[in-house]
Formats: sequence, C-alpha cells, structure tokens
Amino acid sequence: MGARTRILARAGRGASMLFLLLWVFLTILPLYWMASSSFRPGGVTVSFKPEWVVANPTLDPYRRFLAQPYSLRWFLNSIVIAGVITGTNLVFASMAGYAFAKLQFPGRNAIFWMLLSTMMIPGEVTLIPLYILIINVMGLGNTYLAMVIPFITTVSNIFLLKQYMSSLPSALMDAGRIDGCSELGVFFRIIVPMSLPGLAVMAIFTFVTFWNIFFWPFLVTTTDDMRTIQVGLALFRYAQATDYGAMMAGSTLAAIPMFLMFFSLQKYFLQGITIGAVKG
Amino acid sequence: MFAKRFLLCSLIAWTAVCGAFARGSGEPAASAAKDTVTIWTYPVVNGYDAELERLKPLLAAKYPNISLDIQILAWADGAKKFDVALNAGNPPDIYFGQPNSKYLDTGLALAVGEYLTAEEIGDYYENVLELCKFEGKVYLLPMYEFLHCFGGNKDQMEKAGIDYVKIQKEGWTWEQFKEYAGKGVYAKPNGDKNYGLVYYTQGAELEAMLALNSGMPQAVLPDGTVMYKNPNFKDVYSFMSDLMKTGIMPKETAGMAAGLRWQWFYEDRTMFMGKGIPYFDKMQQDRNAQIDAGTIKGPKTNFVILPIPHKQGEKAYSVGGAEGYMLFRQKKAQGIEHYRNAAKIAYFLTSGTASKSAIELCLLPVTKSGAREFEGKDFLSPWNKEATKALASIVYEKKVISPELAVQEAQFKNSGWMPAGQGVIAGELTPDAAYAKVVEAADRIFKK
Amino acid sequence: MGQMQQPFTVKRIMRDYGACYVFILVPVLMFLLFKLIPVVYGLVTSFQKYKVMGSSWVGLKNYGRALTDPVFWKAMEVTSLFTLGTVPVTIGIALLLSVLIHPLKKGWQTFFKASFYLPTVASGVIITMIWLWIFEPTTAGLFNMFIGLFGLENVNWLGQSRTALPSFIVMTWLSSHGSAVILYMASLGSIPRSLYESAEIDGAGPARSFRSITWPLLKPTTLYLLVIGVINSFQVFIQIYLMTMGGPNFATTTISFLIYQHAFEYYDFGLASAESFLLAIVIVAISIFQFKFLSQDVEY
Repeated sequence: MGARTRILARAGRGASMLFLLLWVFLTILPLYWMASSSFRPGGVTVSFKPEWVVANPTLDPYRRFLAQPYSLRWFLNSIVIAGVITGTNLVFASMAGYAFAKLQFPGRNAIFWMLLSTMMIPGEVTLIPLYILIINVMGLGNTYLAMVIPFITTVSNIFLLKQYMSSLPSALMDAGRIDGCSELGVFFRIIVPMSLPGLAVMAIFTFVTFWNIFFWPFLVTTTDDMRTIQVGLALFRYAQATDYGAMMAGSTLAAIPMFLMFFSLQKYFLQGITIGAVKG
Repeated sequence: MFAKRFLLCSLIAWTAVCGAFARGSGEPAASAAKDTVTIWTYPVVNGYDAELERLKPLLAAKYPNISLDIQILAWADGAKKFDVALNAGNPPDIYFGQPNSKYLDTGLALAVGEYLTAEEIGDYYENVLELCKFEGKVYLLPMYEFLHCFGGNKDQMEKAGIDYVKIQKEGWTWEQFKEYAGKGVYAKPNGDKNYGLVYYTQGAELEAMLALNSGMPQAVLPDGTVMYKNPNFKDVYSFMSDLMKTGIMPKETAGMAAGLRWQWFYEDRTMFMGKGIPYFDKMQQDRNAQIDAGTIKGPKTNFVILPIPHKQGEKAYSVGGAEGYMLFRQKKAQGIEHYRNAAKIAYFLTSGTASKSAIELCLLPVTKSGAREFEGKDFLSPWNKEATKALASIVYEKKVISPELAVQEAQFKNSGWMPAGQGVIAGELTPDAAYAKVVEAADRIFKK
Repeated sequence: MGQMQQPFTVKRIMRDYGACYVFILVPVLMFLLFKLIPVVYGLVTSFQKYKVMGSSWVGLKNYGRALTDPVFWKAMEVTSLFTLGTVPVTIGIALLLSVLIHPLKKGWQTFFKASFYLPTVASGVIITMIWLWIFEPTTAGLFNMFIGLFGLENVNWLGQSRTALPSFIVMTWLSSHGSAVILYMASLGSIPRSLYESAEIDGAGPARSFRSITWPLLKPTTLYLLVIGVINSFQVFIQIYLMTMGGPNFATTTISFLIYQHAFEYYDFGLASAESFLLAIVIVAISIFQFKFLSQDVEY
C-alpha cells in the first residue's frame, strides 16, 4: 500500500474509533446516572435529579433497599423465572427455528406465519383472556408456573434462530444424513455447535427481557415473597414522593446478574466456529 | 458431546419447571365457620403497611373467625392490575380507591352500605357519605375526604404584604389572584426566577378547578347538558393564557413533571402552587425538621392552604371526594354472610382507630368514632387548621351521571378539553381556538 | 425435483415428515394454548360490547367506531411517523457501529459490545425517569444545559407539539441500538474470513466487499430486526404513559396508548380489541412487504 493509503487508512480507523467512543459515551450515560444516584444521600424525594459527581456518597440507599423484608427473595424469583424461560427457549425455540429454516414439510410456511402474526397483535387484547385462562381456569395464581408458562417459547426467538440458522450451509446437514444420522442427531451434533453465537445471543436477549418484564409477574403474583425484582422496585413509589435512592440502588443491584451473564456468554458472540469443515 | 449437554439442559429446564409448581405463601386455612376476606390496597400513607400490621390483631380480636388476605399494590399499574382482575371476574372482596361508575357498570360492585348495620352506617358523617353514593346507595366506605385546593408560600406572601388569613376566610377572585401572583414574579439575587404560580397541568386539573369556580362545576350534567360548552369556558382558557403570558406561570409548565412543582416550592421559588393539599403542610414540616437537623440543605418554607380563586360573581368551591374501601363480588357469588364480613372489615378499616391514616394525611376523620378518638390531634400548622375545615365544607358534591355518560365524559376530557388546555399552556392555541376545539369535541362525542 | 406421486395420507405425512413435526411440537402446542385461544377470545370480543357478566353482540360496530374516530387516525399518523423515524435509523446506526467494531481487536470488541448493550439491561421505567430529567424544560434538564452552552434558550421538549414526538424519536435512537449491535456482531462473526480474503485478492475495496459480501449475508438479520423493530415500535407504550400521557394535544398519542386508554380507562374492551386487530393487519401487511424485499435464502 502506498504511503497515502496508509495514512488514510489510519485516519479512517482513528475517526471510526472516535465515533464509536462518542456513541459509547452517549449510550452509557443513563446507566451511569442510575448507578451514581444509588449512592446519593437523602431519602424520599419528590423529583429525580441525577448529578455528575455525587457529593457525599453513602451506602444508605442500599441499606434501605435491603431493609425490605423480601428484597433478596425477589432476586431469587427473578433468577428462577428468567433462567427457566431462557432454558426452555434454548431447547425448544432452537429446534423450531431450525425446522422452519432448514426442513421442508407441509404447512411449514402457513404455521410460521400463523405464529408470526400473533406477535403483531398488541398485548392488551390478550391480557384478560390469558389471565382468565391461567388464573381462573388453571388456578395457577401466585406461582412460578404462571409467570413462566406463557413464555416457554417465544415467537420472537423462533424467528431469530430461523434467520440465524438459515444461513448455515446445508451441505453439512446433508453430509450428516448421508452418514446415517437421524434428524435429531443432525440437529444436536451439527447444527447446534455451529449455532453457538446465535444461541448465545438468544440466551442473553431472553434472559434480559424476562428479567426486566414487569406487568405480567405483577398481575399474577399476590404475595410479597413471590414478586420479581422489577415488581418489588415499583413499591418504592409512594403517593406523593418516591424513594429514588433505594430504587436506583435496587436497579443497580438488579443489573449486576445481567452483566455477569453477558460477560460469561459473550465469548460465544465472537467469530463463530470457522466453517473450515466445508472445505475439503 | 453436545447431545448430552442439551439433554442435560432440558432435564434441568424441566426439573425447574416442575419445581415451579411451588406456590407462594399466604394460602388461607379453610374451616367451617371461618371466612377469608381479600383486600387490595395501596400505600395510602407513608407506613400504611405498618399501620395494617397494627390493626390486624385488633381485627382478629374483634372478629376471630375472619382472616385477612391483604395485598398492597404499587401505585404504578396497581389500578391496571385491578382492572384486569375485575374484568376477568376475579376482583378482591375489598378494594381501595375512588367510586367510579365504570366499576358499577361491570355488575360486580356491591352497595356496601346495605351490608352494614344501621349503627355502623350512622357513624359516618352525612355530607361525606353523599360523595359515596350512586342512585341513593352507598358504594364506598370513605377513609378520608381528600381536599384539593391551592397552596401558598407563607413567607413570600407575608413579605409581599398579602393577608392570607383574609383569603382563607373570604376567598379571592381571579383578578385578585392575578394581582397577588404578579407580586411573585421577580428575579432572585442568585439569578433564579421566582414565579407566581407553579402548577402541574398535564392532568388538566387546573381547568377543572377554574371551571368549578366559574359556574361550571362539572363537565356533564346527569341530563346530558355539557356544561363545558358554555362560552364561559373560554374565560377559563383566557385566564390560563394570561397567567402564562404575564410570566406568573413559568413557560416550562407544559412539560413539567409532577414532582417538579414541588421541587420549586421546596426551593422557595414560587408564591403559589397547585394543586395544594393539606398533607403538603406535614411534608413541609418534616422537611423543615430535616433541614434543622442538618440532613438536607435548603431554604425553609411554610405551606399555607388557600382556596381556589373564583370568578367574580361566582360561587367558590373546593375539589374534594371520598376515597376508601369498595366492596366487590366475584363472578361466582359467595353468599351474603361473606359480604357482610367483608363490609365489617371495610368499616373497621375506615373508622375509629383506623382514622389514624386520615389524621396523618392532615385530613379530617370521616366518622364520629374517628373524630372522638383523635380529638384535637392533628398535624396541621396552626395557620391551616381553621382553613382546612372551612375549605372542606365547601367541597362540591358532584351530581352522579349514568355509566354511559361517564364514558363519554372521559372521552370528552381526553380528546377535548384536556388537549386543548395543554395547547393553551404550550402557547400553541389561543383561548378562542382552544374553546372551539372543546365545542367540536363535545358535538362529536355527545351527539344525541 | 422429481417426486413420486404418492397418496396424500396422514400416514405418509407422518412417516416422511414426522421428525420435523417433533421439532416444532412444543412451540406449536404452547402457541395453541396460550396464544391462539386468547387471540380468538380477543377477536370475538372485538365484535362485542364486553361486560364481565355477559357481553352482547354488536357486530362490526366497534370497527366502525374505530375507523371513524379522528383520534384513531391521528394516533396512526403519530405511530407511523415514530416507526419511520426510529426503525430504519436504529438499524442503520447499529449496522454502522457493528461494521466499525468488527475489525478491531478482541479486547476492544468486548468493550464496545458491552458498552452498547448493557444500558439496555436497566429496566424501562428507570431509563424513562432518567430521560424525563434529560428533557426537563428548565435549565436543570440536560438537553437545555447543553444548548445553553451555545447561548440558546430553554426548550420545552416534551411540552410542545412541535418537539414532543421528535424528542421521543431521539430518545429511541440513543437507547435501542444495543441489542441490534449484538445481533449484527454475532452474524458478522459467522461470515467466513475466506470470503473476504478472496475478495481482497480479487482487488475489491472495503465498500465493494461490504456491498457484495457483508450486506447480502446480513440480510436475514436485517429482516429480523426490521420486522421486530416495526412490531415493537407500533407497540410503544410505557414511555408515553410515564412521560407525556399522549400529549400535548395528541402529539405523542400512539395507537398502543389509545388502545390502553380505551381498555383500561373506559373498560371498552370491544373497541380496544377492534383497534388492536386493525393495527395487527397493518403490521402484517408491512411485514409481508419486508419479507418480499429482504428474504432470500443466502447460502454459499
């Protein structure tokens, strides 16, 4: 490369780095304010005013949050629910995504569109019938099952994995079938290892979504000890004022498991298993 | 191998799912003469959960066969949760809130008054009970009567030479208000602006208050007349527009969050504020105490409760209503005895010693037993005691309208005078244009 | 393709395709029970005046009411503007960021991915509170502090019809690209290096290889993001509810907010259902269009 191209390339990289850092700054600010507000002194206040640098940092908001009798139990509940839902989706949504992506069978498109179109109906409409079904008919009020069961597989995840898996080379699957693998074998032995990045992404998305979900768990739980962390945080709002400090402390603590999940899964996001298997 | 890993994964998933059959605690013991009453309520006052704990043993002593299943909802979305449960046929027995005809319309709201003894019902003050009636029957047992008025900064008023005692006694007209509030518009030494009136306007409460005090006490009358179509409503918008234009109300009013008006009051930056409720007096006292103790920094301010300004020549009213416990049945009826029990509980929670919550909210007890128990004990500052009683006595009793009309009234507000008012505050609509929108909305929604 | 003509019996279908159906068994079962039944219930409700103790049939009246309500059309307009303003831009930003991050060293990649995605793990309510402060109309609000540096006066961001919706749109730009970045990064990672290497050998520059290799191979991901993006933006609700209540003067009344009002403020579930299904039809139409445009089985 000529000297000029080298300089241009370096300038380009520098500019892109600058742009990225700027964007990072903008994106991360809200998170920073949330965390910094959790160290502010002062109790129940009427308005929320984050500061750049906290004047007298204190752990008092954390103490207030943990003083709630069930705050740790809330964490446990959220972990169970988000964890179970992520687990079931990993197993079943991946199978369905694969089927829609790579297998041919009668009704494939029709079924897929049926699933997809129900996602497009606003949730308000199905709220009451679902509530009647799960609470009244099935009698599952205030249980983990009620919070988990409508989400065992989500169409969004099936769609995601369908898209991801559709670009996997079919040649490998044919090779597997020729070798005598059953369909399930092809799936577990060939597809899954190749889909780890997609599965990891789905896992983190699902976990985060159901960690943050508020209204459904709020609706179906009736006792304090079954609440999830998000529902519990809502309790810090009083009629005229809110304990913002404790709420931010709780939210910051609530964000930590997800940071952990992200960092443990993120090695799968990177370069997928090199498809060196196709050549030769 | 990977198959093993996934089999393991699904095994774990299913074990977890089976374990998920675990139920939460709080299942009531079922026994012959025993009854369980479910209560959904809110943090009515700071520490209401502790208060309920205090009342539980007293209740258990009085009614040993009734056990309680209490759920405290969050203000955020609590109403939506109740709405879903109600419309699914599964509401709690007792629910805390305001009477609303949409509850009646579901057919699941019970006239709680009919399940009480004459002595119990007689304990409530008649004028408050009137606010709880539909078609002559009592549907809500009030815990307190809320009072919405205006509020003022005592020290700023005194400095400006405004006699708040006189205003509290005699009321004030819109012109007088403009004059006094105008005295509150100046720049402070540190550069901050001081305002005449800071009001949270997103909920259209200002328009409603002003209309109430200019001869149009409610949007729609039971016979279908739309009061807000009256040309006098244009004057409401003109008044609001004047307040914005003369700088009495800050130009940021349109996008202001509810807590912000409070913040400015704390920071001693406004002469008047709205809406003002008696409880703000206590909040202010608590805050001043914290400032004295050194835990917060800031100017000390004192809250004065003031009547809503009334239009020259019109009668003055306060905004008020009852909040308390309502009785519901589930889709599957449960027998009169059960509802009598629930009513008894609701009565206990709103009278006698339970009136403590009302006192803490700086509101007057609504029962004679409550008044006796808390005679002379209230948290109001001396300059607000008489005024609160006086203002409570001029609360307007809304004439009840049919459920169909109530829905239209809500639509009229949401798509008519509320957005029009927002437009006036934002400076985007002239009072005439705003009024025209109101008329257009009324014609569209209330076509006979 | 040469298929033999065989009798179209259930037995044959199960023999040939049985395994396939096993794959989709659990989702379809769950769907039938927990999605289809409620949806059908909702559809039936849209033809009724819903009352918990007994609804009455009103036929197409709810649909008529929705379609003749000027507020409904205003809400459609607001929602469409919002979608058009946010979905393509957010996806574009995410794509740009991903492409810029991709060639970096592993450590930097992780840093950026974490920084873009992690803010999304804070719940919507918290984020909304923070944005309320950012948009505060006084000098204390962040945006106003910022433009104050340029000597500009305070703007009432959420309080004026002119700026309310654009403020929401900007808020969305700055907060929803996180998951799209992660998704694009995972997909970019699956594109074999060998393709880029051979392109480079062929003399293709970065722009060319993006156009012929990267973009086509990212199409499935882009399609997913577009469809999900449209669905989500048509259902934007919590921010509106917490920040502007649909105002000022309907400037931020989205269809979802209107449906919520009809359902929970008026208990008019029939009307809310009808509006929901009308909305669903629009979204399905848009999605079909997106699928036609972007769906190709790309294999190599």
